[in-house]
Amino acid sequence: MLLITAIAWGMNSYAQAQETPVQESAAPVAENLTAQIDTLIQANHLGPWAPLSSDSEFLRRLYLDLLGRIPSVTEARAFLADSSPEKRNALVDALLQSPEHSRRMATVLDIMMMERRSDKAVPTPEWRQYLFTSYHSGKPFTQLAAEILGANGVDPAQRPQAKFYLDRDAEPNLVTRDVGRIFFGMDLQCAQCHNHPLIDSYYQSDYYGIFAFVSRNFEFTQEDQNKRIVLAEKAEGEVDFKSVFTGDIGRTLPQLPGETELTEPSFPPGEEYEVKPADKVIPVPKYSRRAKFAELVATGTNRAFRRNIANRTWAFMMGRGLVNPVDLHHLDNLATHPELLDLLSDTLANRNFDLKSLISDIVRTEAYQRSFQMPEDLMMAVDPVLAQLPQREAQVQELTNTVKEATAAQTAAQEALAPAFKTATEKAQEALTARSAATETRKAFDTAMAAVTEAMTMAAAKQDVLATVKAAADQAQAAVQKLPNEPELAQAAEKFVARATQIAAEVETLTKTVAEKEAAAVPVNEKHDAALKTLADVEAQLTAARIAANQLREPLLAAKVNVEQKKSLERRAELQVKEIQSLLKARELTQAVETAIAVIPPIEQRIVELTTVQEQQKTEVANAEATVAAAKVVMTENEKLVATAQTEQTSKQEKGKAVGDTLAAAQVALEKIPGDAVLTETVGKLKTLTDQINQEIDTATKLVAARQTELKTAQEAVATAEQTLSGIQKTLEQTVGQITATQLQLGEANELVKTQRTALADQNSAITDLWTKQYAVAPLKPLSPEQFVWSVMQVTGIVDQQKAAVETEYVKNNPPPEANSDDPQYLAAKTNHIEQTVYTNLQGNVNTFVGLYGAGAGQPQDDFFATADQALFMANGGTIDGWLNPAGGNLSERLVQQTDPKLFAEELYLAVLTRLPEDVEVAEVTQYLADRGDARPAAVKELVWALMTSSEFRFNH
Amino acid sequence: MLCNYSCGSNEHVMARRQFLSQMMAGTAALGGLSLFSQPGATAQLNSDQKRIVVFNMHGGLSQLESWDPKPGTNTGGPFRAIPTSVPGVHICELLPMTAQQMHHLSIVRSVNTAENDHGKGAYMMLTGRRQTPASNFPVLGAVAAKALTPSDSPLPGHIVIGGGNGNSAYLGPKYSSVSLNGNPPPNIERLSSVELQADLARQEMRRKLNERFRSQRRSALTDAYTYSFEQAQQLMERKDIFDVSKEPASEHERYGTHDFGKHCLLARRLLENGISFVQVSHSNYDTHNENFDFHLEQLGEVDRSFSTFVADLANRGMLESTLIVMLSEFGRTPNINVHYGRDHWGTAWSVLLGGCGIQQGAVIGKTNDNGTAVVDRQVDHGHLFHTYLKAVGLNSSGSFDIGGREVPLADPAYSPIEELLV
Repeated sequence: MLLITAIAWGMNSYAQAQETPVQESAAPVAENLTAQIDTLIQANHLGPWAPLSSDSEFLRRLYLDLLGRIPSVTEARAFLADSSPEKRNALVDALLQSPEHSRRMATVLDIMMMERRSDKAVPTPEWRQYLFTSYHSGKPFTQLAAEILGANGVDPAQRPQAKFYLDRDAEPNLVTRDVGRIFFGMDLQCAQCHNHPLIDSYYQSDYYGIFAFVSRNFEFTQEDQNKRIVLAEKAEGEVDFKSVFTGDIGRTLPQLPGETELTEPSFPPGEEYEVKPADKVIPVPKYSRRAKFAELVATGTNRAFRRNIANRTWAFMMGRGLVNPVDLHHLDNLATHPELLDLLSDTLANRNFDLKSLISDIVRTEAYQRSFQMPEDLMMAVDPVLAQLPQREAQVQELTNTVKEATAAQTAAQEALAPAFKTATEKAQEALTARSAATETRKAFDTAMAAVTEAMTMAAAKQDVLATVKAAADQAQAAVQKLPNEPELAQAAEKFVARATQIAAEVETLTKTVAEKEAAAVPVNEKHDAALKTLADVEAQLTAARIAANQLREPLLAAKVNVEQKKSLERRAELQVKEIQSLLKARELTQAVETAIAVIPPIEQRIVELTTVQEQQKTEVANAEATVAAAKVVMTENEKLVATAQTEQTSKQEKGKAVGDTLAAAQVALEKIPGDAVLTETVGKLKTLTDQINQEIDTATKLVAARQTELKTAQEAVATAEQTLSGIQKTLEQTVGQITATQLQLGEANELVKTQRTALADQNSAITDLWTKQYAVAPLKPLSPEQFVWSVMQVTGIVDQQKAAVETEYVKNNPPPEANSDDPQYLAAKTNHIEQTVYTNLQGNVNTFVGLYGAGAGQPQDDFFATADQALFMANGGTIDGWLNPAGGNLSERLVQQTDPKLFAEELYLAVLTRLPEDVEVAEVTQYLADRGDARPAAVKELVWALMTSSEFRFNH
Repeated sequence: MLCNYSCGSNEHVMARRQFLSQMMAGTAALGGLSLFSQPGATAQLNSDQKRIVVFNMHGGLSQLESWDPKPGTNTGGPFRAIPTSVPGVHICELLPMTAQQMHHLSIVRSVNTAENDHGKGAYMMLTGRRQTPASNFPVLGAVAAKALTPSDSPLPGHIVIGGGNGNSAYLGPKYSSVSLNGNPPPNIERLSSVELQADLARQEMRRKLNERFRSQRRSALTDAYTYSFEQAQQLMERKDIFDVSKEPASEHERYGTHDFGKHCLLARRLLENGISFVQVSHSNYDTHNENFDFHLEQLGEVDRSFSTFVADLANRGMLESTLIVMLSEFGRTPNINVHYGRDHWGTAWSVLLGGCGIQQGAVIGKTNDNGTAVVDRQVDHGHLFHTYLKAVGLNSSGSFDIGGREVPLADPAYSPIEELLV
């Protein structure tokens, strides 16, 4: 028995004081956070600002962000009609108090933590109700996180919070990745197998530091009727890791990101559990890493934890994190507004991680309430900003130097740590060896002690038999004395005595065995004792080595934070330079556009002038052509006259020849018959005739000559006219050529204007993007699937109809108190009931939209995508078409009945886009209805559809 | 006989993400619609767009009864090896028509994925990576859809035919698979209650509203949103490309009138019309019993349809721009069990490739005489995945930018099988 006492451990030698984690100095933050936020935002952005949002812009944005839907037309009218200067703050107060806001946040928190994974152990409705209740009751986020990260799912009342672990099958790598991303803002996935290849500041030890908190968890199926799966935990399991690149081996204890390793209590082998593992028994370790994790998270002191939730809360409202993507906090992806992130996370800590209070201040800032439209004339007010360029560039240079210094300090701290880290790693290995040796000796000791116990049990049993037999012998002997003459009795008594003696001998043997076993156990125990002592010594050394390493690690961690801060400042200055450069480029482009435009009017003027000249020349050409034509007419006349004269001449000549021939023949005859009177007379007559004809020929020939002269003159006139025409035509051609060339020039100039304008538009888009990052203009935030479907149901009247039905039913079952039908308690209960019931009843519709508009399970849910199947669903799906049918006082029905065009357009625009229409829009709507003639109900549906599918509706702006 | 899934795999009854998961685009022009609508002009017009078609022989095709026969050995089974159109290359006699197309194709006979589980094997072969608890990778179809589909295409980039679905993981739902199973895609028809004129009028109204909004604030997101409605309109106009019954009866006859034949013909139709990735599944090769009867029956269907498909792609000039892959989750054991079956075998099996970027008539790697081990140029899912990507002209060691994160296209620890590539 002594031995047993001997191993009653000096627990104290193993129980080590827990080291408190690094306390961040949460300097008290003065209130009026709203103003401070705006001051810090304004310090970042140099240029002019987008104006503040209009009431309707603000109204729609606030409803979407706080309640997850657009306002009803009644809500919109009430707010727009309110003339109180405090109406925005009043609306913020009212919405934040509503159960609808808590419901929206339950959805936001669910999607943040579960990323639409499909349900396994815990149904989403229960989980969301848990989140709703937590948020609605003002539970600090630290407590919520601690409940979730410490949950085991055993107590049915606390089962929902185990969803985070159980629906991930408690798989330690998956849990590690998601804990890192979701609660600490670090996607350490790639650091699982090696230090992150792309992100210098993520280490394998960061990954395994979280991994160590969750790697001992495992799923356990309870033996109750539901066979529910719960989370159990082992007491053992060390975390070793090996780089696939370098082959380096590391070991780590649990460690929160950016902190030192935990110092943990150690228990001797065999003593680690409150409830030891056994078949069908949930083991309970004396020291639970999961519980420790929850406890540490609950303190809210971890820097990464605070910054993560502050950044995510900011991102919910502002559309983009100060660090973005929100799960990539690292040195190459620093906060755009480092002081603001510090302010938000410190304030959140000071306010006990009350997310609602942070939201409340954020939505009151000017940064939140800016318009989504850029200033009308951006270039008007930028001169003072542009002048800052040299100064800002110099600042970047300065900051780059401070980053270099800080980085050098970090490297030095890293190098200082290296040997201590190596020692600690070696000691850890030794401790592990010592622990397994002690586990072995403990086993041997347990075996020896079991043998002792067994021998003692046997001896005791035998002793018991002996006592009984002895008593029987004594009684028998007493009986013999009383009845001495009973030989059988005497015989029996002797037998009893003999048996007792024999058993006594056996007892003696067994007692000896006990002594032997005890003796045998002594060296085993001594060996175990020695092993324990070695273990205690080595673990003490390990602790010392770890403390030494941790002491060196603290300056390293501080140096890392310092590098981060310096880099943040550098990055901000770089962004400012970039902003100025963008504005400069925009101005250049604006000027280029102006220059390009200025070139155009002279060209156009020249074209006008040339065109005038061209017209003139065309007239001249026409005139010249007329002259040519006239000359040609004359020439043709003359040609005819020549021909006529020639014909006359020919005819006379023929006649002359005939007469000549006849005269010659007559003269020949006269020579043969000289003196013949007839002949003589004939010859005389013929001679007269010949003379006469020759005279006529002469006249005709003269006429031909005269006519030919005239013709030549006419021909010359034509040639002259044609020459003139061709000259004028050439000039005209030249003019046409000039016009074509100038028009080409105009085309080029116009093209240049177009190119420059496109470049300017692109540049303006780039500026808008930069300004969005600077919160100088409101972002365009795509509606989440839930915001979209609830807004669609709000527009189409599905929500209002459902509300009315639920309210009627409620009032029927729970009539208001007769004494006071406005009893606030009654009304609150009714409101809560309606909110929850409507939410539950419409979940089917929500799921339909989530299936189409939501990202994949387990993937980040904030990437926007637009697909044809979504558009087909909106265009051709029966659901939307059905919702648009005029019925039950919904928007379509109200519009069908509204005959005043202006009121029609107002109702339509207010209900769908939460704003009043502009005149051109009223006209457009009126025209649409007129065009569609008597198909009015269909036309109304089409108009609501068109507004509801517009990009203005799809985005929160 | 029909073989049941004796391994408890139920991938043949997977949930299907239905139509349509395509396709965000920026401000790209809406034109180019008629480009692919005329089969005759196909080769000429879309030779720039690369495509991939994967034949997924679900359950585990036997390499011994297909691409790596070992006749006359203790593992060879009853079938002979026959010569092919590539001198010196022999394949199993169950594929005589395919043998005549082998000059278009290449075999990798040295695949060792060391994985004998259906789910895990399929995951590895289709994503190119081993499954890990904390991460999820997109399948080849999703990668191809994102990397190969022109940004102004209204068509889905990732289609699976004959069962199964393809996870797009971090690439986002627009690249997850669209399952075609004979039904028209949902919501593709205009509602009977909405007249064409009315639809045009409301769409015009929507455009006007968007233009006005755009003048106030330009953004890639709003452009993508408004464009999705134009894509929907274009899809409605082109819905026929998903309807294989529009192919002439003679074509159906050539491909075979069974499901696999129809599916191959539909695949051809889709590829011709500019779809980037098509996967055709053929079930079920999990032949723990009666391996030989079953392969005789199944490959009879495959041989005709597949060889017709390959020949058609070659004749239509599409082979140069279309990568063909025939894979399984694993092969089958050389050992023949007591039920005349072969069991799961990831240790030494074959994958068939051809077309775009792939050598013609090549045989890469080698198994030993009775097929029980790889003896030359061992490769696995990782190398193959890189090879597919590089074959279609992608930089397989490049990265996607996913919302500010750089994500490698393929497992960075691997590289392509260079000697298989042109």
